[in-house]
Amino acid sequence: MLTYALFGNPNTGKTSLFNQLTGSYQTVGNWAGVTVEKKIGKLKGNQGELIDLPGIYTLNPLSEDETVAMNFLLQESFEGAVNIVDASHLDKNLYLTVQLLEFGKPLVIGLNMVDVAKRRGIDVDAQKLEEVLGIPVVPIIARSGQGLDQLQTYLAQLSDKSRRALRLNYGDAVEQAIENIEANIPDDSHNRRWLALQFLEGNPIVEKYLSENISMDALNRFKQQAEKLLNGRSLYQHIQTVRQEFVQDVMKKTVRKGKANVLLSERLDQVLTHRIFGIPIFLGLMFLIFQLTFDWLGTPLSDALDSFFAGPLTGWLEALLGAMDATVFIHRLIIDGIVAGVGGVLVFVPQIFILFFFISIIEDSGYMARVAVLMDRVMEKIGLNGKAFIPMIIGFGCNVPAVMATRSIEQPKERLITMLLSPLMSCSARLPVYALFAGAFFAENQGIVVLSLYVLGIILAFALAKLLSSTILRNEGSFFVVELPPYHTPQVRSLIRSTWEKGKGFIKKAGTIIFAGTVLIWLLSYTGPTGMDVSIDESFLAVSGQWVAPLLAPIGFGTWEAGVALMTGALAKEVIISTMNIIYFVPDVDTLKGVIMASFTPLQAYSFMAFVLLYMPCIATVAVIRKESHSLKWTLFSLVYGLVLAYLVSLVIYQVGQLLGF
Amino acid sequence: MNLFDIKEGEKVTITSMNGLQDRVRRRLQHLGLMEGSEICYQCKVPFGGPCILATENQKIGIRRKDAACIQVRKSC
Ligand SMILES: Nc1nc2c(ncn2[C@@H]2O[C@H](COP(=O)(O)OP(=O)(O)OP(=O)(O)O)[C@@H](O)[C@H]2O)c(=O)[nH]1
Ligand SMILES: [Mg+2]
Repeated sequence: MLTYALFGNPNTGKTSLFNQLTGSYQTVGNWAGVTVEKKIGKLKGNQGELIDLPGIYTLNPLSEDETVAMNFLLQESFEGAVNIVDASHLDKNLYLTVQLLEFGKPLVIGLNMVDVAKRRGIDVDAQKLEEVLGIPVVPIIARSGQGLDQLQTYLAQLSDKSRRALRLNYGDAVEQAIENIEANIPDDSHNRRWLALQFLEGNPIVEKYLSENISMDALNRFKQQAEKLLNGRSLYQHIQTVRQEFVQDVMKKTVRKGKANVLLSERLDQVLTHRIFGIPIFLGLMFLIFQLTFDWLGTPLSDALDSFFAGPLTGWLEALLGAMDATVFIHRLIIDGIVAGVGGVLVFVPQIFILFFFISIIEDSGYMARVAVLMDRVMEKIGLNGKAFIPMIIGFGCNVPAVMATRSIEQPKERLITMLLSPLMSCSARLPVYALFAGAFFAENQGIVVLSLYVLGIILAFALAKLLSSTILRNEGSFFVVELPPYHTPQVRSLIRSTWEKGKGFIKKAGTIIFAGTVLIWLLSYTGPTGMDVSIDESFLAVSGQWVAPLLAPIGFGTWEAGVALMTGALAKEVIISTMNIIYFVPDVDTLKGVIMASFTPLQAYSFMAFVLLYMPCIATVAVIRKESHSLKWTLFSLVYGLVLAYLVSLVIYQVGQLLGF
Repeated sequence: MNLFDIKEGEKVTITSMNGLQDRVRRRLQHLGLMEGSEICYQCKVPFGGPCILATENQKIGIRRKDAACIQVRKSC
């Protein structure tokens, strides 16, 4: 199988190209650091495999996601590579290209974003670039698919072209060192000159790679000798300067600059990152999103779906079951168990999709990086940096990609803190619980009440971050540098795709884990210590719930029903709603609202929602924290602190609320 | 003078980035900011928040304390 890899600077359209060429979908977004892990796809037309990688500026990595790309280059075998280059930023992008040319594997350049470059009055002569660099250059627009046929043709021919690696002259001192080091490198699975150069500029990954086979003493000696001859400049700086000069030379030969159109992006920024209005605008937009999701748009749609499930769908199923002569057991399992449990969760699909739609807009427009800038000051105060806010926003959709997204945070400790706290972001799985409870108890101010829960999560995350960063995870040298890409108007087609890709996970979950949970819960409610078809208060479910109920009494909901719902919710938080539908034995969400209004007071309901928000990450999130933190200790911590925090916060809400007379 | 002394909207050329933390300097170099680069100081987020720099064709947000470590001179 032929394997090709995608290398390029962050945010240049690698994933857009990957999606086009493989027909699969990976997240595309307009900020640097969207892709954080290696993704494999099959090229259309059975040409082989394409690997999408995180963006890198140079082969010398500063963060975890960049390390992934570098490790791939060094450790895995591939036939050729596509270097995606942003035509509107050629100088910045070519720095990486030089290193890839020095690496020596067959390479083709995808000159992307030629549409953006044109608008900015930048004209890149692709043919000339091809001549100067000695490799094929194909102008493309990855977003629309223009030029991809030609790129694929070149790709197919790539593997049988061997190419001489680029050799720049780094000056006598460095050339001597390179020669000496090359002589010390025994294996030739990689270009020796390239290894020597990367070692000299201080690439830690290459250093580690070399140290596995050879003693570093000699190499370090050569390095020091060369550095001495550079009159005070570091090797890193020197090597960089030589490459920069080469790039400037290439630029001179290939790029012409004309007049740029006055950019809309500029004017947008004057408003959105306004020195005074920037933050209020951000909060206002967030509020608008909540109103639309929970109030204006989402609720009517969910209600309509609910009536459909409770009315026509149940009717049809009952008719069908009747016609099939189903036993009472089957009948009740399907109608009281599955339809109530799974359907009760699925009615919230419209709200979840609306939320995902807005998250997709934030991701694809370019606003994400601006938010990082706006939030940096606050984040700095709590020992993090503005970039940590990006995973938090992603976390409103789902905590799992949020934990992954922390890879682009350069400081390991800041990254760990962000990872541990991202479960405090209210993900879409909590949304059904909020929608149900807020809809029942706070119908007038649903949007605000739900917003208050999201804010509660954020405030607690900030407080904990402050606590962690000033105690056990103290870290020096926090820093913040972020690229602000030009705004793109998101394309409707890609917005729909991205919303669907995020939301389909929820539907899938409804068909798998929620379905399984529902069947199990129904069985537990149908059977009891005394046998089958018991009254629900004597079922296994009630028995197990009664065990935890007393513990929950001080925080406002000491019923076995609440206890059971919370226990099953550890599986996935949506299951809380399925469980309640089954326990309270209701045909639709509307009736369920009535029933819970009889068993909770508004204060208890709020305390319950807060508990659901905080009490523990779902299984999938725990698993990804385990994988990304490489630490059992921190994984356990994330489980335990959630429970403790949830209990304390709910206790305060309930007890103080009672004192205040709610 | 350093970048922090510059008025909004003024065009300047970087003369030295030696005062910066190594990693900040490297990141900025990745983005194409180095000695000799021409930049335009754009705006500050209030309450001590970061500031935004614009080069010929891109924008970068950095912290003020880092901006204060970048030496510049006025471009003519
Ligand atoms: N105008 C225009 N926009 C493009 C083009 N290619 C990609 N984009 C947009 O550029 C942004 C970045 O695209 P991605 O495919 O996520 O970039 P990436 O290189 O995978 O980024 P990282 O994963 O962060 O390294 C998205 O908003 C795309 O819609 C293009 O040819 N023209
Ligand atoms: Mg990507």
